[in-house]
Amino acid sequence: MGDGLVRILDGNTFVVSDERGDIEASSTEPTGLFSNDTRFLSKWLLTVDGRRLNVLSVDDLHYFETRFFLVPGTGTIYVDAKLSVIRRRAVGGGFHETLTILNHDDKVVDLTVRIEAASDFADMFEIKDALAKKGKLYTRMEHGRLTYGYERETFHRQTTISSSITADLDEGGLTFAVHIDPHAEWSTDLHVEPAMIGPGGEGLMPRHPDDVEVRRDMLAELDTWITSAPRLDCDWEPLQTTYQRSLVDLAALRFAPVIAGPTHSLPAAGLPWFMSMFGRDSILTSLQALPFNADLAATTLRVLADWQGTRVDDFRDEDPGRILHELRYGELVAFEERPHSPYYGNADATPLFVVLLDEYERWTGNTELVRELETEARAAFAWIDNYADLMGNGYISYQRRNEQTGLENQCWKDSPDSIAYRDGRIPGFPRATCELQGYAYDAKMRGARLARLVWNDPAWAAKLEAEAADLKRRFNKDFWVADGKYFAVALDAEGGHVDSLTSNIGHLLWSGIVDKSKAKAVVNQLMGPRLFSGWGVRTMAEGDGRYNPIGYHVGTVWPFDNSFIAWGLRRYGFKAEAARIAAGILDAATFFGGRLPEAFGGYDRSLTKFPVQYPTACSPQAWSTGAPLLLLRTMLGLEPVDDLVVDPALPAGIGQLELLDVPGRWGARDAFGRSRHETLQHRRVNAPLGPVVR
Amino acid sequence: MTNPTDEFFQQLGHRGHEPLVGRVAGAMRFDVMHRGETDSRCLRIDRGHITVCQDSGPADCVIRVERKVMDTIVTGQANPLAALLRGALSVEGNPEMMVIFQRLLPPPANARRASAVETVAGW
Repeated sequence: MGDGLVRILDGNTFVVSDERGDIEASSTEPTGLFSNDTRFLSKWLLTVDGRRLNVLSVDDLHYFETRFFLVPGTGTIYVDAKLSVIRRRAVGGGFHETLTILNHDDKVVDLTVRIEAASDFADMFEIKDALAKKGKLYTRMEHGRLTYGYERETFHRQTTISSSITADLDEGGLTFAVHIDPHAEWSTDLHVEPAMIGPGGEGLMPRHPDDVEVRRDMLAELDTWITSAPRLDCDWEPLQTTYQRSLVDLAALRFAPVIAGPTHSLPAAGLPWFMSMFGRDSILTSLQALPFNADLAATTLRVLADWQGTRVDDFRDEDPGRILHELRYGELVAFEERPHSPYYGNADATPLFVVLLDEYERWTGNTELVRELETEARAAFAWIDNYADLMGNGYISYQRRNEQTGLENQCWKDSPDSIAYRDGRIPGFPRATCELQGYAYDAKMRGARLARLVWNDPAWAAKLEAEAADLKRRFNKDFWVADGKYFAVALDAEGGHVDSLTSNIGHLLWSGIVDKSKAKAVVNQLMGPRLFSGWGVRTMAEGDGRYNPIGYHVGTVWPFDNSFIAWGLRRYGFKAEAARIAAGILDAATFFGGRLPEAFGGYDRSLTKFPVQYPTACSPQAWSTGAPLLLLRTMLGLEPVDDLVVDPALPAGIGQLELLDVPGRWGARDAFGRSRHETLQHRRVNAPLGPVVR
Repeated sequence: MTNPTDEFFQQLGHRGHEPLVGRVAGAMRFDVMHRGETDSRCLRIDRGHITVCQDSGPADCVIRVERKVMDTIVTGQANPLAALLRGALSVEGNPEMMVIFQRLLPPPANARRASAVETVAGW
């Protein structure tokens, strides 16, 4: 991982430890056993005869299972190889650890093996904001189990630790007196179970079945997931690695929200802070993954529809028809000290919900789900027209009503300085960012298609198209920065241009709102030296007041952002430029073992030679994981019409690209791409694709 | 005798057709506890048509809650998911029904914007 932390997970239960398998959380360290946004284990330290162990290796078996190979340490470079310690750990329902000690000596050994344990029951928000607990902690030892608990009024969480071999229990952990014969071994199974306790001592959430069962099912499930995805064949080897990594990480990031039932999952946003449902992230990742797996989109649509806003609630920034931003399960949400039950403060998920609904039908032909969600789609449009137009100028804008714990920037660039004027000033509120208008345009055009095809309302379809045409006409006039030949990132409260040059203009191509006559100028900006770094398009152009190559949204390159920009370039026919972006991002992926980070530095490619990862605790992240998938789509030019249309445009370094058994309304089809460029007979198949398209 | 929970269910019975819950069909039971006694109410939803009855029979989704908590939920003061996470309410059976049920609840008193955009047709 690069940060010395090991993470395994199942849904929103996960363990973050050091490379020895130890958990030693401080108030600010994100290590521990987490479940439903609560830390159920904040300490889990293994000692043998009072000493910590040294790591030999860590074997990542699966995303939910790992193995630590350890030896007792002397503090010197020499290792006493008479003993080996293996911790095999899996997450599934709770947390299981098989602790095995091997005696390699021809003498008997007697050891004191101890696990120090503790739980602070910290809410994720408390860790982020370093807040203190308001309730009471307790410890119990009964029936051979060590139990930690936390109570605040009716709120009750509990961690129970048990062992297959009887341990001496005390408040601080478990101790084993271990006797091992020569060349023999000793082993115990440790089980840690987090529980959310409801009225009458019953569990709040549905329980997982038998542990062993869970582990076996998860393996089979992962196998099915991988084998049911299209197969990739490509002469440029790194793409195989990146593709496999993406499939496995996407499987890991699946999350079954309580209300969707255990068999339905959608993409959570990212590990470790964002293993939850996010409207924007779940929708965009589902869009990226559609040609590979359409079930994620179906679940995302259904669950987001279930939770669609129905009333005006300032604390949650909720309006009728608004699609949620974030749902959380921790203590602060339970006591309504945080608004995530759910929180609705975003301005893009609602139009994007309709975009996903249409794109889902185009791939799958499943009109049933579209029919089922007609009421919700109509409500989404009602939100766009009536609630989102805060300035009364016919554009979506945002301004939070929850001024304590709500979000200031309700678009994907949500850091405080991301939306700025060219000279670096920050505008007031409301703000109408440009990509929101693009999404609204696309939603209306797609909604019109569905209104004719499924909802049997041609009059409404015509109305939506007229509104979209009007929006497009106004937008191309009102947002166009004539002296720079690009679209302003936003309109401010006075209707003036917030005029920095940003990657947002790429999303405008994706949505189709850009006049054909302006497309070439937009593409020149995207591929020009101020925005294009050689690896990808920067979030903000070099030379603008706030530009910083390692600023979160003001200069870094985001793989997900680039994948949608590539889609936009394809939409307007700029195939070579789309391939150039794919080449840069896929080259970058090779520096991270195929796992693209959330963002990397905006330094020029010729300057650093490698992508500089933005320091962040969030990896893998869903929409970064989805980026290579969407880039495969744009390189092959896949479009779902009645049949699968393939129109490849490959980067210069890729001679042949095949995606076999692409699922869709056509059943399964193969997509082939051959380079138009001459390829060398004996060229290195691992060479970077390079910044230049020949 | 009258309390917010009773009033809420009474009014719900008069609502008849409610397009907001048009996607679900099934029965919900609310076991509302007060001073050691349980008062059960059944809510049947069938493609937007709502009927309310006093019934303790089986249901697709059963909510168990103290009346003082239910009173705050039906008046828009408390959030049902927060109450569930707090252990002040339990759900058995199909939890999706509870999510959809929330659409029938009134808005909270904090809504400053309510008058600005009062009615959107059908929603």
